[in-house]
Amino acid sequence: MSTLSIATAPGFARPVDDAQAVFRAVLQALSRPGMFVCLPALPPSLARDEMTQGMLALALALCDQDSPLWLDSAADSPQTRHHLRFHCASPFAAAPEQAAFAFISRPESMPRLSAFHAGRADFPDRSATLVIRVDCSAEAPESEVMEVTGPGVKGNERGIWQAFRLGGLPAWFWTDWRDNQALYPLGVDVIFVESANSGQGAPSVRILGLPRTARVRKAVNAKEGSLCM
Amino acid sequence: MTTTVNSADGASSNQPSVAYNFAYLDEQTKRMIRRSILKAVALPGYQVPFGGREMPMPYGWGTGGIQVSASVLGKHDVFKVIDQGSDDTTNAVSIRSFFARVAGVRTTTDTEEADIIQTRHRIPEQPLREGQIMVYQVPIPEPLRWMEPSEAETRTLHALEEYGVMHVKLYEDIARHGEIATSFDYPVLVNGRYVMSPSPLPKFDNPKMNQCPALQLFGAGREKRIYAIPPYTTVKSLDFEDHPFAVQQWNEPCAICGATDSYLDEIITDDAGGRMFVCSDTDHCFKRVAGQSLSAASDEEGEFFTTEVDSSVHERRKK
Repeated sequence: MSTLSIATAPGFARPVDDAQAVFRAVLQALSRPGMFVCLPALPPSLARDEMTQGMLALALALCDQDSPLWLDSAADSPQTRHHLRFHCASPFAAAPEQAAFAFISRPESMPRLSAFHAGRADFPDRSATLVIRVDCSAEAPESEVMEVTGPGVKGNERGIWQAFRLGGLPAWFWTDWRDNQALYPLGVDVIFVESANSGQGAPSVRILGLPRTARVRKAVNAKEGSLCM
Repeated sequence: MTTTVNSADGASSNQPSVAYNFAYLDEQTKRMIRRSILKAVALPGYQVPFGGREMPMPYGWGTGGIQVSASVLGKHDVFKVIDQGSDDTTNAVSIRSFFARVAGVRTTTDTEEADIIQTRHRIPEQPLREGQIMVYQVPIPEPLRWMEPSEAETRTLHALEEYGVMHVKLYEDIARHGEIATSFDYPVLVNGRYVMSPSPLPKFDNPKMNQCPALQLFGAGREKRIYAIPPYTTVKSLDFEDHPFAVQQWNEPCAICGATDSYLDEIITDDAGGRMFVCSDTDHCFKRVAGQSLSAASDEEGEFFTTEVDSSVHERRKK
């Protein structure tokens, strides 16, 4: 591909409002772990669709020159880099541990969670935020229903647990998450982004947040929750 | 301040009338603050440093809270500001009109209606609901600062979860006064990990922070720190088994609305020692009075409280 053939795709239609709305969705998702939240605005998709619209929305809303990005091999392409460099001005991290934001398009081959920066004891906020593409369209088997507890989870008749179901994560993911949670207050935070548009008509992409405070276990007969409007 | 008023936009009510970016701050600043807020939510009670900006008002007037509000506000949000519980003091009025001007958002004094409530030193009496965001203005975010002046030291104490000095301070209160005399900015333990300053709230409001359905964000402009309490998070006021945490109580009800369960301000009414106690939360007080006069009117027993009396008392308390 020659450089001339890389046309810059547009970002948000309304940069100020859309970035604010996407941020509020992410804020909502991380404040209420285990609840799906709809992204209210999406940028146009790239021709090569490995970096989904949902992931692009998060990058455009949150990343700039102060937040090094790391892209997994599936999300990484000259076009994606050009696009993110143009719209976010973000530097690209050579290795996962240098990233402030990691965009993971193919979770089955992603690095282990310990490969990302977990922060320092005196500055635990300097940890990575992982944006992971998940597949929620296929019916995941019952064994993959998980439930979460921690700050942001409202108690119900079943105790303080919120159920959710995500597809496409590697087998080791929840073991690694337990190790990540045990590092608290260190640890990475994760925002899962649905890969496909779930509804008919207007495109809608859901996200689900798991801050490092979230403790996750396999669920028994649980009901999922959503904050989507 | 150079302002360009676009007459076409200025005429319509929902448009900002000045040529600033939406909500005053530039987009890069908002992104930086937004990233700090997200990390603060992931670390309940931990103070995230951020690149605080110069705001068009001096430190101490809520610059931290304003930067947080400017970063979370959207044009469809309804915005409320209270200063010591009151919607009509200088600080509250000017911050409200600031955002009405630079963001074109709708403002309100109604706690229930508000999406974002910026506050100086009070939590509304009316229970907060899911989806609301409280933004606190914080002067001194570090709860250990009075005991340990060094930032490097306090940072290490937080990292090591070493909060002995705070308990010593509360113990010294008991030794000196027979009880924990700290009545505002009463330290809390958030999610069982970080000791946090709840900003100078009266300790009366501390229990409202525990398992609160609203998201609580704290901004300290001079100290350049942001911290947060996510919804439904355990917030415990520090105490001792034999000196359990207790909130203030008053011997008399509010002189205006008769409330016995709200936080009361003492108002000096003359030079002869006259005084009265009235609700600090003006929205709460007005709503109660409105409810009473409605029911009184429907009972045809006459009105005990006229609006002139209400406003004159609240005028007096402002002085």
